[in-house]
Amino acid sequence: MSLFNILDISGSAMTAQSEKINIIAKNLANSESIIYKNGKYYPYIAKRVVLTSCRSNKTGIGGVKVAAIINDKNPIQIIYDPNNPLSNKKGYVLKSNVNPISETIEHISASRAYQANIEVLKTAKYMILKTLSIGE
Amino acid sequence: MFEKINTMFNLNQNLLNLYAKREEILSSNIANSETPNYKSMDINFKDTFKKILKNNINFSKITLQRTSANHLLPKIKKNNMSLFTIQPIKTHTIKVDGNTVDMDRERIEFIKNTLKYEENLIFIKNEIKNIMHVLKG
Repeated sequence: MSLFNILDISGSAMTAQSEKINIIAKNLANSESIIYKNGKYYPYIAKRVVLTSCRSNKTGIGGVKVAAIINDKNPIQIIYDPNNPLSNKKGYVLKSNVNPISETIEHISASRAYQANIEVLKTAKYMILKTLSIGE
Repeated sequence: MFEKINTMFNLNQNLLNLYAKREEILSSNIANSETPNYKSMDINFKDTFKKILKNNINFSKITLQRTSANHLLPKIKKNNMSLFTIQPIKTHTIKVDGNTVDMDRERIEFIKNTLKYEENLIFIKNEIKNIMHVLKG
């Protein structure tokens, strides 16, 4: 029945969008972090979520899934800060490429998409209940 | 008598199926509003409705073995599943990532579709009420 498929579709979209919000929260929380790897210190690199639609070949419609979580391609900032213990010989420090403004905007758009899917879900549930009350 | 009731509800049943399918497509569009390269899909309502009307009249016979001449010949509708042809909508606005979902359009169509579905349900309910009135006298 088509109406039950709506629950799956909207549910998958909600999962994907909340994953996106999750990653955004991680980015914002780690905007000042430093990662220690192979004896060297690296700045945290922002992550991005790539969404794809998992549609069936027959109908061309379907839900969403997270295809991959990739590194943001924005360049890493280099800041002159000689007092920082991690600065190099010339006094420069590598800083994370997290941009708080773009993260905030992404967050707003993801939460709006989440809300839209909740509305769809509510409507679908209401329609199913209405259909069950035929003949009463 | 029951066959008559059946044919009375046939059109409404098909329409409910169509609206439910369309609701699914629209919800898929809303779900994929941020997916790169997703093309907004829809059903051509006019053509589909014409097909439903045509299929309503043309019954094809189901092949069941009849061991007695008194067995009834059941009727079945022809290929019910291929009624819906889902195709990408034509639009002038394409986002940079190749996505053609216009959220305003999808939301409005979604609400419209929901209301039409309910309208159809009420038609069916009223028809049932009429039948009950006749039966109870």
